[in-house]
Amino acid sequence: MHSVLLTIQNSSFAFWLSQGAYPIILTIHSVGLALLVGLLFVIDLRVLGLGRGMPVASLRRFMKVVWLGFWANAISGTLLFCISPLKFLDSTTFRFKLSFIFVGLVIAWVLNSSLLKVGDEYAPISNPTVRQRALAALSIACWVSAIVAGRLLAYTTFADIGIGE
Amino acid sequence: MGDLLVTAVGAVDVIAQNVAGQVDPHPFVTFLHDTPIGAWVRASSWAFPFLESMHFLGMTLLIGIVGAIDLRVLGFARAVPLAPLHRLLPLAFVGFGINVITGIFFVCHNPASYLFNIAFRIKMLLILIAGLNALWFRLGVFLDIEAWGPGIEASRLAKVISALSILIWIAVITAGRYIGFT
Repeated sequence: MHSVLLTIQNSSFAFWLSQGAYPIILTIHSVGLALLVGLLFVIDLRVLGLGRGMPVASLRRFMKVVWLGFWANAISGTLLFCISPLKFLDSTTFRFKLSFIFVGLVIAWVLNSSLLKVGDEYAPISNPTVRQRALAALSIACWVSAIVAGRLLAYTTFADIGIGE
Repeated sequence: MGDLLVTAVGAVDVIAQNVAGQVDPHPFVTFLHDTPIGAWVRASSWAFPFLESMHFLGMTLLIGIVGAIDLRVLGFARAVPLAPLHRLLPLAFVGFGINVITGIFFVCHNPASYLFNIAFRIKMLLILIAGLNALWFRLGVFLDIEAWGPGIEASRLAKVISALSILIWIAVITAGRYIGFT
């Protein structure tokens, strides 16, 4: 495992990623973030009771864009990982970020299947349960934490190879 | 705004001369640099990552809500009534406010590295265009908000403006990401 990662890190592919491709991949990662988390925020806020006039089920199609943002970031994130895999694996911040993302995705899946996908899109407003509202609040907390952890990664992982802000 | 532009353009010339080692930095650059804000960001090792995290959160809130409205107008998730979705807009302005404030902190931390940065200038111009585009939407096609109920299809003009909105905000993110690389 270690030698495979070392091979990746020393490959010309990783070098290319860290040079010209780097800002492009970062841009894709940021746009993906806006789609994934931005739309989940809208859904979570509605579950929490904001914009009550919208049937919760009417928001279900936004989940397609949420998953699009997720895959954009899973792919761009994997490429960023390949620049310096050993350091990422070694980073506590990185583990926290992945954990927050994992919990956030599980909540998104649960709310989607238990609430957004239930009934007719045009059905009158159904009120989320207390448990679902708690999950929505936890979802927002997870994504905020994932963003903060992601920002900190730029300092803990890239600072000494001269990449990052 | 006009004054600021004149100042900024003037400052470019001064910087150009500066490279040749002739004069001091433009007073506006010095002024921003010497603000307590600038001093704080430079002195604290936590300030920059904290401000950046806030900047990304603000961006996500702003573009998430504006993007949801744009997608609905384009016909995606047509079951969504626009009036209650539009009521989330104050939160988008909260996101924008967070980003203006954190943005000012970034600039004061090292004014010359932003004001003379082409990616930064393009980003500011794009945000201005995004604002005008949103104003066009609100005053031009989105007058009777309550009329945009579930299933209602938007006019072609409304769709064009919404598509532009999404593209401009993606361009804003792109320009923002390139500030550190130009």
